[in-house]
Amino acid sequence: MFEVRGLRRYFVVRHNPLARIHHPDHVIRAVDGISFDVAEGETFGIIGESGSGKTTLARTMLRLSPLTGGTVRFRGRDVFAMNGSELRAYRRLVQPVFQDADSTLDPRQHVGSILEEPLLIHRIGDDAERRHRIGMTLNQVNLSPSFMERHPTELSGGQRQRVALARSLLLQPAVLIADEPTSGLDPLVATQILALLLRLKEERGLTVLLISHDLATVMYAADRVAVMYRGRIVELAAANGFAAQSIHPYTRFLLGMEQRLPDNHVVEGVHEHIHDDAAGCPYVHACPHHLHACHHEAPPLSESSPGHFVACHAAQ
Amino acid sequence: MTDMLRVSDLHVHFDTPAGVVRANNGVNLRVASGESLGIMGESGCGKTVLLLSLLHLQQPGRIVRGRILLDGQDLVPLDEREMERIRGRSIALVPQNQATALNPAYTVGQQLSEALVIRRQGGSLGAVVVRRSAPGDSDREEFIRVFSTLGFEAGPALDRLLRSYPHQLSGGMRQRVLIAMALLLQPRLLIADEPTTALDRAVKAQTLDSLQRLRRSFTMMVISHDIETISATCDRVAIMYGGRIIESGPRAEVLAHPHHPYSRLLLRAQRRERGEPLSAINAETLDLIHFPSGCPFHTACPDALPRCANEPPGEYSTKDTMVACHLYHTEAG
Amino acid sequence: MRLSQHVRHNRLALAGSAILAVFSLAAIFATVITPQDPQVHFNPFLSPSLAHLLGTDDVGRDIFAQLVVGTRVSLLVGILTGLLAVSVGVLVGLTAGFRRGALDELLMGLTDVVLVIPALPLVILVSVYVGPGVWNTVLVIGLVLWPSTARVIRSQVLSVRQSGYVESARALGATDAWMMRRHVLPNVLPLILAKFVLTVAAAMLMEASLSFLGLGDPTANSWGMMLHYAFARGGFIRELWWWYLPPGLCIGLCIFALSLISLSVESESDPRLRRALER
Repeated sequence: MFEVRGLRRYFVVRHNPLARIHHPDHVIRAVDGISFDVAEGETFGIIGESGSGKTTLARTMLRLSPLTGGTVRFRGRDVFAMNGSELRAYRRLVQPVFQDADSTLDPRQHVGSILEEPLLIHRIGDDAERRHRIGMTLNQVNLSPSFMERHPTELSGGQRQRVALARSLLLQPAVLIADEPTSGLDPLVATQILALLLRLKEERGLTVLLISHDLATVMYAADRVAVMYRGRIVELAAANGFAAQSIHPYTRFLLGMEQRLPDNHVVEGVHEHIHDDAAGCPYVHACPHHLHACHHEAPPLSESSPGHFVACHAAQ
Repeated sequence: MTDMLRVSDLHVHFDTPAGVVRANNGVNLRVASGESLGIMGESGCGKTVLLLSLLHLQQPGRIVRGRILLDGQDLVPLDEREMERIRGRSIALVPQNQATALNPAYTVGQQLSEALVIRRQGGSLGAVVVRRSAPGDSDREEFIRVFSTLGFEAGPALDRLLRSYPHQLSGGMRQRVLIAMALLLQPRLLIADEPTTALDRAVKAQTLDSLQRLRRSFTMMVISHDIETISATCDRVAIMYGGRIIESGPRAEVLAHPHHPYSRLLLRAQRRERGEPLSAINAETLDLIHFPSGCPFHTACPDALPRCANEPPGEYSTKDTMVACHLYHTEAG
Repeated sequence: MRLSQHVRHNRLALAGSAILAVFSLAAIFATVITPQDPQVHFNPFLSPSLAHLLGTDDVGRDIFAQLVVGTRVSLLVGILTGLLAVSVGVLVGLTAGFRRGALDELLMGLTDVVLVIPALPLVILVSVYVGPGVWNTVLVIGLVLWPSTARVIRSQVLSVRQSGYVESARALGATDAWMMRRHVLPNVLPLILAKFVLTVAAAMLMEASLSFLGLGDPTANSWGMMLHYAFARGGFIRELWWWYLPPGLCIGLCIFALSLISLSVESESDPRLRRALER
């Protein structure tokens, strides 16, 4: 379904000419060479903290953000080479589910109008057909059609997220890229939304890219899991038995925090004061197992056992 | 052990054009001196209103009934001036939103000094003018003391921290600063409101670490819907729903063997075991204006009895646990 | 339209509209209302009386009649200038906000230059050069009033463009034109209206200032012109308050009314403001 190779997305921070004396332009490597495949019908999980580049990755794959390097192929076609009707078709087939439904729903419009938009953009059906379709989709996310008259501001967080989900589903996509679909929601509501998402996936045979910092959720719902750290994938393996078989020190660190192990190497200020353009493994400053090579050469993502990929010198 | 805080039959209402919102409906809770109580609940359960009521910040809501006893003194009838002495000094709040709770125009050191001024002058927040000078030496000693409690040792890093502005710090660091500020006031009661809404795992771990250290020396109330947070920081836990405490008891006991059907749902919903279906129910938010008769949970309750629709349950307690549920009426008494 | 609905609910706007309505009616039916013909010369410097409600000026023309007829000029200049300035401003703002890049930089640079120059001195200068005349006045004042609209519109366009729901629309496959039509424009329209109202107010004030300084059109007797004559021909010295006070009051009232209306229109565009005003 998806073939990502060497995806890079860099941001250049330019200061105005006066400030440049003290702060030279520097490059933020949000996504720094990511490669992975997503099979049709699979739930591919990506675990990442803030700063890992996961959101940038999601947006780039949705072509909401430009590419600095590498390729993204969807069903064999280069996404960034698409234009016109092919691009429109891509957008119809690959839909996002974002975190903050507050900002993705226009507060001025009522729900019916918000949900009508995708159908209008792609000129699907006439008035009656559209209403029918919207009503059906609302039912699928457990909202009654009466919600069409309401405004997003009148809805609870969970309801808003469901409206956003309905909007993504209206175009009958093949893929959902969900970036933190449940963070910020109460636990009962979050579970509800997750259950809904998984049920819809089953019913419609969707391919889902689930991106979250919540390990438990990703390990529960995904078929395969990738762990991102500072723009790179450091580990990629099957979700079943992931906790037991993981190797990369960062993954072990995350798992340790999850289980609140007392001797987990506590990292003070993990994301602070790090130079982006340093060569070598991005985790070297915090890694308890670092070798000499780790300072100079970034480890490639290589297969340590069938289906299990790790980017670590020490793991070899 | 004496009770540091004791809330009795607290009712807080809000008048809105749509009707009266019953945010708190007979809240009873106790926090013993030196103990740490967790309050779990989702949005709309009334925990925020409860918290604000302790500090008389519940406007435009009004306390309709009930008593709030802090070391035996009832806070409800106090006027604004008297409450100003209580706020920050007797009861200190670590606010939820670490990103915006600090003033971006002053350094960390300056804002912490402000807290010390409040404490020393015994004055209210309104009387303080933040001085633009650097903190003095005695201030620094206090800072060192407080930060070491949080596991942050004195040294160049601390100096740098004191000279920094809030926007230069990471979320975790800001959270620590907020906790430090609350500590400097040497409160009798420390309240942490949703301290781990920070998204980052690393930040969360740091914050929990700080809070755990505080447990030893302070009486605390931690408000959160997150099991991990409550587990790490509390001795006892109370679960809120529909403006009432519906279950309370020793933390380990309640988390491992919840009694109330809502508690069970709340705790079970956070489980993610591969192969097990998710326990999700269609729990719509409770309408606090048109309060259902009887037990507020009865419409969504999987174990509801006929009487649940008509009779609000009382509080049924055994020696240190309490459940507000008809299912347990016969067991306890 | 929602505007009328909102006006009904909002007492401020209601008051403002009422005042403006009175003036507008006066402007339209000016020749019918005036008891006297403003061009006819009676005895000069007469005090207010039943025949001449506000007395007469230095050449014997009825002041009240002048006031009523002057409504036309003052309002017209204000509205025309408003239309001109806002049209230019909106065009510039939309283009800059939507296109970004070099065009944006260029347009904003131009806007900033005009913004920085003090308005009234510039207007005076150009006016002297260009000469009197209603159209000249409109052009000249419009020249200085468009930049603030441009800036405001541009910010709004930028903020809407970056908002989550516009991005969602893009993810759904919307084109730039679609987003402009469906998302940007509705969010920008209330702002345009509010800006228009405020610009008219500013234009009226500026026109009055220009006329007072004698740079207005002497044949078009606006309120500002009346003040000019009142000053130049001895109305102030002789303390003939019925000559200089009414035009000034009218100007003030109109601007006040316009401000009230703009307040409510502005709140329409921002739901947060609306709630605050309702309280």
